Amino acid sequence: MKRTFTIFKSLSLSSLRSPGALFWTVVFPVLLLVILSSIFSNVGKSVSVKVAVVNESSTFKGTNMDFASHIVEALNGMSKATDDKTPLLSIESSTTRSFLQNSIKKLKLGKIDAVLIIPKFFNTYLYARTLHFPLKVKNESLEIYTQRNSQSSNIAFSLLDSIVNAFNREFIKRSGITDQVIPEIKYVSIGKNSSFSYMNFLITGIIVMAFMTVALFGVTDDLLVQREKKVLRRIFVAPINRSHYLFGMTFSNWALEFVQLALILVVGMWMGAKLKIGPSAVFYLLLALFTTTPLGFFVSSFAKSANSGSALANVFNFFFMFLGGLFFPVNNVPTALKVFVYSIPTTYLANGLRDSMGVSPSPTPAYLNVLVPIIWAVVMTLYSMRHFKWEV
Amino acid sequence: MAKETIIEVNDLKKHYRNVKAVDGISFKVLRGEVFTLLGPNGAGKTTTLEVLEGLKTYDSGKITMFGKTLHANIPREIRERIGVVLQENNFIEHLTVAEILKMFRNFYPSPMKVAEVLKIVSLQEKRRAHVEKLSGGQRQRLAIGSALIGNPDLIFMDEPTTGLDPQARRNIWDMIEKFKNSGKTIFLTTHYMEEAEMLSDYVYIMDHGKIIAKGTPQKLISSFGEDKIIEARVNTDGNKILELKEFFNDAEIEKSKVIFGASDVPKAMKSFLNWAETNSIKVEDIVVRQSNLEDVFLKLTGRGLRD
Repeated sequence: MKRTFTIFKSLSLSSLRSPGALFWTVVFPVLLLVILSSIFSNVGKSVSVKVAVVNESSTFKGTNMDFASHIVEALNGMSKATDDKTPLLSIESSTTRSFLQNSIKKLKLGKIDAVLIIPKFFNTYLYARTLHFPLKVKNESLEIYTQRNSQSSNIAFSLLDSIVNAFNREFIKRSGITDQVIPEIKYVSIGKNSSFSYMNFLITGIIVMAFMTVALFGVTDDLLVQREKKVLRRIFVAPINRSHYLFGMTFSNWALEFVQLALILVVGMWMGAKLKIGPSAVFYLLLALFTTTPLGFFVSSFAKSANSGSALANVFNFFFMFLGGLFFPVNNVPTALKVFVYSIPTTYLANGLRDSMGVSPSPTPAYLNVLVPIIWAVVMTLYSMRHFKWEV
Repeated sequence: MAKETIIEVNDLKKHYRNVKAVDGISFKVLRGEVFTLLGPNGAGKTTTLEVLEGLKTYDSGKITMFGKTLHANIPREIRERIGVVLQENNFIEHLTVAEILKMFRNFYPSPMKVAEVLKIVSLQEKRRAHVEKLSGGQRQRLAIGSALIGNPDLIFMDEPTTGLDPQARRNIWDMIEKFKNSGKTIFLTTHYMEEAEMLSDYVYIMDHGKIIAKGTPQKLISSFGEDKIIEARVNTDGNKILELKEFFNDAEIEKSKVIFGASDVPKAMKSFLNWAETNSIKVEDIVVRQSNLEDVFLKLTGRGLRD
């Protein structure tokens, strides 16, 4: 234990005194958080949202009083692409009950952003309002289901709301009704009760990135640079085992990652992030910490020199960072890239962390969020133990 | 009373594909002596040393250290008794001299004090200096300090003065003398004959993986050559100079330099100058010196130590 602690202390001191290491591992993630959140805090306003429209109305079909169809047509009109512009809305519509159930499931999984339900007697209700005399007709409200935690879901709701309001204005103008706004919208939200914030989304991604960066670059430095400079060789002729060094190095990197985490959380909170830090968040933070640890060892086992190790670490970092959805959502990436997105551990770590911190519901099941990073960590550790060369 | 055997090596072999780096060497190192492997670059000295330090495995032979037979790995109880100065010495960057020594100190069961080692290696004033700021000589002294901090019985030193200026080299020699006087056993490799001659109790000359001569420096010098050496630089063509061989059988010729042993210096000098005059050869420079291990190596291999 004394030997492990000695290595831990020496490597930690060395890292703390190295301006380059400190910048890239501690300052850079915070800087990235500040820059990205400043630039993209309004992200999502230009995205295309997917809405399922369930038109259950069955009265006045094929007549001028089929108000439900007018709404659907208006939505369909908005979903058509114009020239080079991506349409704001993408509509799937049907009239069946099974489509409704299916759509709610899709909404829960984040595959669509909202479900609009037009009730069965919607047309009858509106027609009754146009007759200018009191009729005892049941109020048939439009229902909009959204994911409260999803920014695109909020956008979808705003769009639907504005469309229905426009419809209302037109309806009032033509029918001469002035006493109340019709039709009403009943707003139903699914999921946890918090609103989406890019800052929250980003901060969780930055945490995973920071852990990954230390694991990748810290370890390749501690192993490959020290191997190349024959520092490891000098240490191992002393009465110390490789396990002492590996554990000392790992603890030193974990200490650095705790500092990073604290700094990112403090800066993030100061910038307005609101995160739930409960037992499940702590669990995912520790999972991220543990499962990213073998990354550097894994990369080092492929590299013959410190330079090639650094290049390889950059490649891993790049793919894991961008395809793992650490900075931007990756739900809409092309299908070919989805293979990578759903194969790499950072996707699941970020999903799990965001779900546990109340940022957004995980599009992947919780068991995969735990299992995939663990499988990666085990495979990487076993591979590295077998293939890493302590001497060159 | 016979000295304790610290290392015993029998028929040690280490091959790399077609290269016989170490080719069946045997030797014994006794407690308190400075044992030196002398040889040119590529002779197999470092490979031998790295096998003994546990950094390399060996193909065949037997190694006994502190009475224990070594196999692939050196057990910790033996590593706790040895100190190592590698040929290339680097340390974890951004740590100070004192921190490096403290780090190594923590690996050993009964280490020396940092202040004590700093004094021995004359780095007290540099105790707070970061290792990357040290000069070559200071870095080498730190390497020696890191080998010494565990209070070892045996210190391995692989070409400890290579690349150092004469003053730094002299400082290291003084240190090695002190270790020897304090009863430590030192296993040294070098290609500097002065170093081997000055420091060693026992020298094994190694070439192409084999031991080609062994003994105390004085014994080696006296057994393989004359007491005095005459070195002359002449201005003539190669053929003329080769004729000199007829007069001095043992003469070694290196370009325009003639080296030959002489037990009777005035007589040999006179003969040589007469020969030069008869053959109209201009002698540009002539010196008489004590013979040394370089001459022994030259005699044995026909090459210089630094060829």
